[in-house]
Amino acid sequence: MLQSPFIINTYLLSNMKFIIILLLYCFNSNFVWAQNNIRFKWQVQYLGQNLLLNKLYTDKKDTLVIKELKWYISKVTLLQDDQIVFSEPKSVHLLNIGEPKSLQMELKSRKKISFNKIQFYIGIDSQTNVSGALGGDLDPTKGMYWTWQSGYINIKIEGESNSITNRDFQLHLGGYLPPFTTIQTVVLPITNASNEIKIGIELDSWLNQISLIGSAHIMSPSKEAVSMSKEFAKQFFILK
Amino acid sequence: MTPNRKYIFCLAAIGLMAFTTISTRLFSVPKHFPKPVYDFSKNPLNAASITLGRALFYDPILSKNNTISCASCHSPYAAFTHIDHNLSHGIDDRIGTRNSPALMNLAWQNSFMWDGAINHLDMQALAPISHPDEMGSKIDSVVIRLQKSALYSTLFYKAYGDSSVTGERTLKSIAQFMLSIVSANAKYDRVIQGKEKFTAQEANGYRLFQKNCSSCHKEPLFTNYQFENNGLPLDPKLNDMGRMKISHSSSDSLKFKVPTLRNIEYSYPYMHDGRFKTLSEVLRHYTQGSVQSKTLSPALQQGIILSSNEKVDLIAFLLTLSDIEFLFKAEYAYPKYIFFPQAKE
Repeated sequence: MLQSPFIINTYLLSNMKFIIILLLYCFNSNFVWAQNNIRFKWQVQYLGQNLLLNKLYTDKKDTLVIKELKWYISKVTLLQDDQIVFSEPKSVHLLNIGEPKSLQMELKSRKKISFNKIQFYIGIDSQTNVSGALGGDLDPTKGMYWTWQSGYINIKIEGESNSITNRDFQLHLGGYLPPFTTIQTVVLPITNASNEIKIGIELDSWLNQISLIGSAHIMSPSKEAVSMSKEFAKQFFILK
Repeated sequence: MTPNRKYIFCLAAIGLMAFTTISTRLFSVPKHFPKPVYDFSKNPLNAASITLGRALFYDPILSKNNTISCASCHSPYAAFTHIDHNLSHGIDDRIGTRNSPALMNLAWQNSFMWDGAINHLDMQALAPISHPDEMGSKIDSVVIRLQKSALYSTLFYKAYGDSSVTGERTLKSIAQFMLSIVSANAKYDRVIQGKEKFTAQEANGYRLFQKNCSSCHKEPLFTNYQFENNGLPLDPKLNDMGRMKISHSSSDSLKFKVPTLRNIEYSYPYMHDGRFKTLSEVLRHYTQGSVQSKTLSPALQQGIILSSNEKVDLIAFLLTLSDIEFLFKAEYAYPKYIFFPQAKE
């Protein structure tokens, strides 16, 4: 096929991004970037201990086994006196108790950042929910996307408890459209900013707040999903 | 690689790119069509991804027991729907609750399924893949199967430059094939473009269509992509409330997405549950069978009145929406050359 020089030019232009990446790749070995990354570790606690999957917890007559617990964190920003000092680009993390690696999050920065607050969403925003197929932690193979109705599951918890008829419970909490918008914002003050910060979640406190009896199976956007998500967001704290 | 070799490699790669050619246009907007709603910048079409999507569309590998492909319920010769089945069926002969919709001009469509449950074309395939009465599988198992397949390693490599299979790539490729399915060369289109003329009967049918049907079946796509209650009495066995299940709003009770009328000659049976086999039955419903209710489409409140001659003329017009080229287009058909490269035509 005969090509006019114009077409070749536009084609090259459209590939500029790729060329730049290629050039960066060529040069990157000659530089050592300064690193001031900040690492976050997430710890889910049950009765003051680190939660273990598939462990039988007993409390008086009540029993609890957690088989799966996953949730999304997105739009992570760091603030200094309410001024945003760092926003993580493409910020989405799927935290999965079954995959300890996923419970570590590293914010990449070359500059040293001073901050006294961290802010993040629990869940996926509505724009992302209507953006079609996405990759990485948002890939639908991660089991956090509803198939019969479009939308991400923000929080997924499954397990067994003898306080529930038929024992098992499955909470798939999500929904991006009003009136059942489930995304939550969490802001945590950080007094001793260091390069490694631990964030705890009190699962027992959450399960006490929400009633599993009567709503042990939530699989679609609903009023219950909204209130459970709100309660979940209240359980985050900075571990000393 | 030593630094010197690295530079040579990079320069060579940049140099080579200048010689690659742009493939012929994979998608073009027909002159009389509006702007598509699909955001192509997030999933730029390329011939190899369309081919991959086409293979996936025709391959039962997507289903739990390797028996059902997308094409099982969306056959190209039936305008990509399930001919002769009122309710579409899936693995183990399980019957669903709805009639599979005809697939075409999907780049212009903003929500999918009869109730709009799916908000993006990329995500559409997830629903039939996962539904226990359709393919009964899961996208993660599909990805594992595709990873094990030599054929798909090659197809993914050609499409994406490396052979890794992900859910995102799988869905985007299927979407690319679906985007490529465009019907815009029916007699109607040629008349609009001034290339042909309607017969007197078709012209009268067109006038009747514009008067009675076009507010919902809006030209040139022959749907407004809205949800409407068209007065069908509720089937108590299926008890399908349509859009209300998704929106949780009683104002959406019994509303279903307005389907396109393009290729309607081939996409029978009609309605969300396939209750009508012929266009005459459909017109009988609109003229005599419509049920009054709170959510009935305002356009149908007054009722449609058509004489029997007018009905014949209207059907004559509807048949001008048949696009034979679309139905038998080689690029849309079962890709035998991919699955059986040795076989002779």
